[in-house]
Amino acid sequence: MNLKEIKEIAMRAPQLGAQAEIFVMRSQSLSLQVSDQKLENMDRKNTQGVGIRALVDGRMGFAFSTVLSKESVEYTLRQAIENAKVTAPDQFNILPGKNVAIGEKETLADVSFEEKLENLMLAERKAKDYDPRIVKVQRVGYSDSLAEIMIASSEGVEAEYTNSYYSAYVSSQAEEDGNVEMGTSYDVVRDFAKINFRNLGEESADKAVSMLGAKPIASEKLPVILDREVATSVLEIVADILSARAVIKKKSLFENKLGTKVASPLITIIDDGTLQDGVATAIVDDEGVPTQRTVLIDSGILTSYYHNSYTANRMGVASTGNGVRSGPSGTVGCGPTNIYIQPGVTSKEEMIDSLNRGLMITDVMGLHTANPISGDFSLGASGFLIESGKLVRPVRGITIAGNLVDLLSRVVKVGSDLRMYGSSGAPTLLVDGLSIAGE
Amino acid sequence: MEIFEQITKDDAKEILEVALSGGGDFADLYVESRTATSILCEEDRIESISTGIDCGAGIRVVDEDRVLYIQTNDLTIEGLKKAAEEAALAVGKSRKVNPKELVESDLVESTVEIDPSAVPISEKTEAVLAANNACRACSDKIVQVTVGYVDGKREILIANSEGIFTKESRVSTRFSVNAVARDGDVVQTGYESRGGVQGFEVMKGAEELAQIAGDRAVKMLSAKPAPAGKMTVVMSSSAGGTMVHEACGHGLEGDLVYRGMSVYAGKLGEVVASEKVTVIDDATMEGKYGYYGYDDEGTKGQKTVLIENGVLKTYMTDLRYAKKLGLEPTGNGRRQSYAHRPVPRMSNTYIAAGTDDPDEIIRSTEKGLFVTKMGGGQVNTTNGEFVFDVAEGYLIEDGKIGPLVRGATLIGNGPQVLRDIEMVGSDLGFAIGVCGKEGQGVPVSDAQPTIKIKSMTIGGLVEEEDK
Repeated sequence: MNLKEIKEIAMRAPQLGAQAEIFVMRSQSLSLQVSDQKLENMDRKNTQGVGIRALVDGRMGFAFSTVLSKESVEYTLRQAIENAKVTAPDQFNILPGKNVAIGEKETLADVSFEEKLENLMLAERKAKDYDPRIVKVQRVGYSDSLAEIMIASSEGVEAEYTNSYYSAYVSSQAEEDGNVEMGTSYDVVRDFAKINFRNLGEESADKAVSMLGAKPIASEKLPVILDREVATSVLEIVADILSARAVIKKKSLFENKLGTKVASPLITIIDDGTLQDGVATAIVDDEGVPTQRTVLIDSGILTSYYHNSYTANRMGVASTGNGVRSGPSGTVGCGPTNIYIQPGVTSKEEMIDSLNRGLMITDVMGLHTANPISGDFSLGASGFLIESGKLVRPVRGITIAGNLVDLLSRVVKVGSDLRMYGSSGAPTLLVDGLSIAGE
Repeated sequence: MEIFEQITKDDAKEILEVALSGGGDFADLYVESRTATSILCEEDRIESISTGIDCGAGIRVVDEDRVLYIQTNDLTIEGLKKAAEEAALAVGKSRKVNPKELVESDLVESTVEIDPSAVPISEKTEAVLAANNACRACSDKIVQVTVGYVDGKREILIANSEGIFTKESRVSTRFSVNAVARDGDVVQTGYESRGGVQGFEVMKGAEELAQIAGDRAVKMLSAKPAPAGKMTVVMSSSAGGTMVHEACGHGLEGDLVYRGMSVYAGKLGEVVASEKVTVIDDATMEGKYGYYGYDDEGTKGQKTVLIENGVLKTYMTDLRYAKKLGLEPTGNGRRQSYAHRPVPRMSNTYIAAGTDDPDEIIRSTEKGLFVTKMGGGQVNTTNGEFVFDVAEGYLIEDGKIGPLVRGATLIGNGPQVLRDIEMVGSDLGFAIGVCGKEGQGVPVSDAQPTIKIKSMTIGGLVEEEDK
């Protein structure tokens, strides 16, 4: 199936009393894992699918299939129309209007299978050789993926673009005096050359070794440094609160807060579907709407939510190009593209130095249990105790708890060290007074 | 897609021959066709309905310590052979290996009371709307209700070079309610779900379940934050089984044990828990969310006693790790779909009921936290540290259930917590979940009786001191 053929089927929808949008994705991916300097696992996936939205008298229906023949796509269209007829009408349901966008055809980097393997073996060696207390490298893996997407609709959308990414990770295990600690480092990037395999190995080993001997501290309220990986995880939950869909559904603490202060004046959050080399960068979103850079929080003031075509239509604004699908079988949602907290001016060392007593958090557990609707979070945590401006010992077996909105307003320093972890990223943050539960 | 008719035993044998044409010790073919109907109700109306079909196959070749996996959506015999060729090419040896003759096992078909495919869509949307209405009727403080309903049928065909040839067809249905309540600036939620290898009968009592979710969201509005620090914990049988899933389940999975990534590695025959604790994984519990006839490698699902009266008996294995560990396969090789290689996973996992009176367990606790509903959890199997979310809990004061407290995460060390289980009740309650190991979601159910744990850290808020 090519774009023209898909377009032809979409154009048949009006004869069936509907508007329709056809989303086709074909992807190929490779995953490798190395163990003891040998290839252990290799997975090659060739995936395809079609997802169709049909709009009939204000009612929206979905259908999908993994069979891409003309007959199958036509059948799926009829299914979507049938499904639309049993949903409730909504005057704001809409399929985006005319937009023709043909992206440059991307291919995966010209890197041989052997070179990928050698890089993984290098990462494994660098982890193993980092310190005698590294007893094993648990997992060393690499994957790449290229997806070709086509969208055509009866309303004039014709889009074709590619998504790609490369990722690698290393997990190292350190042991000393019966203590076992694990450290994991990973990269997800748009450019193969940006993966630093040597660094990933060393960083994961360092994370594991530095945690050896970790034990809890007593329960107390302390200033907390969230390292940039943890800050990124926190941002990913905060991102849910910034979704216009969550606002419409009364599931956002930022409802009715546009133009007001919702965070520390040091916090600026940006969603940018056009970010150079961003993992989520594309010319259009999954509805065929052009992507853009949107400032969501500007120096603590809520300036915008992010929108898909439905939320934009309902709130009387323009879509910000944040219509997302999890794949052909997913319905269209509203999600971030590349999202990050803008870096500040303080270094991590200065933050540590500024604390008489505090905690630096380097890892959290149970993040999926944080509740973006109530904003409440309570997470298992590990990191380092800070006394008199120095990291004095590793800590684990504790929790940090509070409310996300409260946390955003308590940020007193923002690091200059922004790092993207895939499509989201943050610098190190210093937060005043978080509840720590321990012994 | 009629995969059972489309792919014959002879076809499967030929595909396996191609897969092993480049050498290798073992090959298998996994073909799956899945149909699904999902309904979403939000803002008091049916917002979306989606239906579809997802079918594909995975071909795996094991060669010494290497595992090569090729996935395709092309289910023609030609397409499958092409994928098998790709696998053989990746193995890249000249030695051709012949698979054994395939022996077909009995087709396993799940039995359901009401086949969802025979229920008109209007009846499904009515049931979903009724649940929505029941939830909204709880209180005018409820500002949003999301009701999700999914039913589907999976057909799975498996053939391997050791002669296994199995077919299974499973119908499953799942229903969930999330209520959002608001009072001024305070927002709280209540969540309930139910499902299994069952049909539309899952929706019997859906309205009552929706009310439980709605009531929880509302009462949480006035609950105090949970305290911070160490406390005795009593977990009700109604709380679900996330604790056992995280505290010991994952650590007993054969791959993690073999890789030295489990605190339970090398401890077979040793005491790893209080003698009151018996832990069982049982895929054969019909109707439960983690039920299957064959696992995703064609091994019969079974009941496996993992820990008996505190003593570690065995690990959960798939074919590969059973061999590596020198154990019998326990039928725990599972995958999310054809796009994933199988890994050892739990099915329906529980702490067996004991002899203590559940009420007496509460009465015997001077001060503690009574957990009546758990959410999700996570474990670091390497050092045994785990967390689970408490969605509903109460303080216990002088042996009596006291005030409701807001959700908090509990953190503990698996082996320590298993040893600290002081009482085990005579009741047992199941809850469903989707386990996310290695990024692959598979349906599981977990259960436990009412139990008392000497001490765990509760991740609540530190009270502000008046200065």
